[in-house]
Amino acid sequence: MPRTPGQERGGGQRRERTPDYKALDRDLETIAAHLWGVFNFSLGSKDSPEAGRFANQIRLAYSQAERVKEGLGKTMSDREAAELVTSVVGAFEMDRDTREAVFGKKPKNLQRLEKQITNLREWAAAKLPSPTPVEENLEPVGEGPDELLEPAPESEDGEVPKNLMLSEMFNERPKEGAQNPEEMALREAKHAYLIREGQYFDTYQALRAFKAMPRQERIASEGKNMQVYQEYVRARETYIERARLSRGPKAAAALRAELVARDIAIAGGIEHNYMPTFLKNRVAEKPPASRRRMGTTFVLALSTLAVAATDVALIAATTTPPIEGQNPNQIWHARYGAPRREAAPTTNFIAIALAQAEEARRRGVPRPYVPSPIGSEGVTVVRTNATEQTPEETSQEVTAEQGDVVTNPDSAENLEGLTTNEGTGGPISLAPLEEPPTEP
Amino acid sequence: MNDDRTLIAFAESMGVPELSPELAHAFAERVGPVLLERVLMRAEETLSPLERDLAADFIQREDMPGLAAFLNERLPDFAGLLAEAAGA
Repeated sequence: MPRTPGQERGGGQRRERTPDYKALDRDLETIAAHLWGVFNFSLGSKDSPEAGRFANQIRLAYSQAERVKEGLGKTMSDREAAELVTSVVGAFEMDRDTREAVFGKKPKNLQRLEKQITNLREWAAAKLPSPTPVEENLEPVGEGPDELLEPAPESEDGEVPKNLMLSEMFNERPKEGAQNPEEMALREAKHAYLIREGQYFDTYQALRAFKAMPRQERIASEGKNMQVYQEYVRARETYIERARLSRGPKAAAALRAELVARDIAIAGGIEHNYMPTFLKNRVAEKPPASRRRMGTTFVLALSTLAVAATDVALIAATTTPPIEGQNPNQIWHARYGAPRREAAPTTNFIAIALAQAEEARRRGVPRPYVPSPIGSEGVTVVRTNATEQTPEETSQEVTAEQGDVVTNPDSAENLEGLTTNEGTGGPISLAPLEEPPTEP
Repeated sequence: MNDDRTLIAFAESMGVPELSPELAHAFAERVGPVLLERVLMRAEETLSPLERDLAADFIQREDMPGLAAFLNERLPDFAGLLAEAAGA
């Protein structure tokens, strides 16, 4: 069993101490050792009947630990390692009763397991919330009250993660009369900042806790989940707005990208552990660089499909009565017959486009061409600003009739400015550059 | 260039507007694999064993355009599946 950060060498009486985050930073191998410790412990206790339920998770965790080891000294960054650790640790987040049922009731064993998991979770949490890596890619824009964005003060031992402990500082309210007015104002401002940031991180932790729940429990508490999610989104928007005011729009956009990507990655990572499947594991087995490349090309491929599908929808829109529901929720409702269960950050334009295409096909509108070859350079996405055109202008420009085939690339330019999902944040139009087949 | 525009549009659709091409690419690198894995997780419930093996072959060859076209053809509710997978 590998030694944990809180465990001294040589046995005998152990002395508890705070995990050495800086040492962990320097030594990814320590993380891998921790992971292996947790997994060895898990497998060693698989005699309990309930342990079988977690067998797949543990197997997957092994493969992820292999990926950690794979990343040692190679290309895996601290951030990637932290995400990996978070996703692995998510598999072990369960209530105490369940944990005792799975791993036995020996207090010492449970304490050791919990200690290792806590160490890993704290290390990863200290890494993940910081938005600075993305912002480092940007040049500073504008001036702002920098003193309000200075890092939160460290705790007395100087080892507390930068941001996660902000909520614990709420009690540090300014003492009236203790300082001069300027100092008071500064402290009030800092206090307000801490509350705002604290709200974000508190709600973020609450959201993560829900996401980490077993799928059945999450479904059972859907309403609560929604509430937590909405609170989280509000806090996140405040957090981003704060960055916009103090550091400018580019920094705010980068921060939003970082937060949204991280939310999705963590939610996916937790789910990854709870529901290992054959196909998903084929992806998980790939090296990190391959997975990144595959993910990006998958998005591009979907976009290409959506372009073709949106073309169908555009033809349908000009030749048939308007497709019911032009906003995401209406389309979703029409498509699935029920309100959206969970408010995603925004609508996925790919899904909307495909849904519209399906609706067009359902109405009997022939497909103008087959989207082939997929992923080639033959299809271009043209982003447009639909607000610059009036409906009259749009109707004059679109001349396609039902059954028409878009054969002239120039006609695609005529479609520029049209949008089938106006107001959803995903206006796109088409410009097929290849000569399409003459038959639908 | 086309890829840049597509990835920027993708980021916008996920609620992340005003990104530079570099950041849009970084965003897709982070989100894309998750989206892919979640789509596959849900697709597996519908695919037959043979279709599953075919999909695995696409993954093995890292042929994502082929995989996307394959799933789009074989899954009757690909749009809904994508929308569900994209929900954070």
